[in-house]
Amino acid sequence: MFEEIRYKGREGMLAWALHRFTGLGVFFFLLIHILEMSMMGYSPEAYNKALALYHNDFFRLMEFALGMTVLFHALNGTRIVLMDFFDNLMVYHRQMFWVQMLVFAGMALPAAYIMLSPIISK
Amino acid sequence: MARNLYGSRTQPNGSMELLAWYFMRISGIVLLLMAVTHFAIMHIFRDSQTIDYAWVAARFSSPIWRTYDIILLFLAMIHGMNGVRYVVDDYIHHQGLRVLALSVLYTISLTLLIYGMVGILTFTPQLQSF
Repeated sequence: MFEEIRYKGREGMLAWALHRFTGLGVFFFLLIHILEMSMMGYSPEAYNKALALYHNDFFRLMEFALGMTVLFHALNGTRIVLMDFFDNLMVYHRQMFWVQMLVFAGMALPAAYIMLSPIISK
Repeated sequence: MARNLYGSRTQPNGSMELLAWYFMRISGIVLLLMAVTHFAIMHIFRDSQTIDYAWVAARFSSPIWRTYDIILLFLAMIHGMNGVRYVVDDYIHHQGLRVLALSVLYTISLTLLIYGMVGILTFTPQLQSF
């Protein structure tokens, strides 16, 4: 019976799928981040050259996307931990998801303003 | 992997799997604070596009930031590696392919983890040529 409702959709499955995608995305970024940071060990020119790849509007957008990816994964992970350690909360997983998304929006909007306004103000 | 009524991973019985389960939750809470702070320092409280060698070198002159970055790197890599292991276990059912995928995953993850940690520990600033 448990297997049948595993993919029942709605908030539970959406949160599960997003947790997976965001996790994989952040992991992939971490691999690139280590390689780019390792240029610090070679020469200032090598590192500044690597960073020059990030210094454009496209990467401003990508950095914002990265931030939102980390933020979603962090908030959704917090919800999972809370439900794991306080069993009774599982009943309210749907409500908790929407509270989480409100917190997400509350943090995402100021972040968007700060991180993306340099693109618009050009 | 046992799942509860709502489909999330329940606390496993095996010792390694239980350790991994606890690690994901404890490192997750620490990463929530450390990774979000790291992102805020780099992208919210400053314009990330002003970051250059001189700035990072000055930051690495403090052993506190080196320690912070090593802990963050270690936790993020092990947390991420174990997360990808869950995904591989979920989707790759052929045993040979799964062993191959996990071997590639562990090799890349642990190599880059050691590479990154050595990089942070051994970094010595070079004079910038203009």
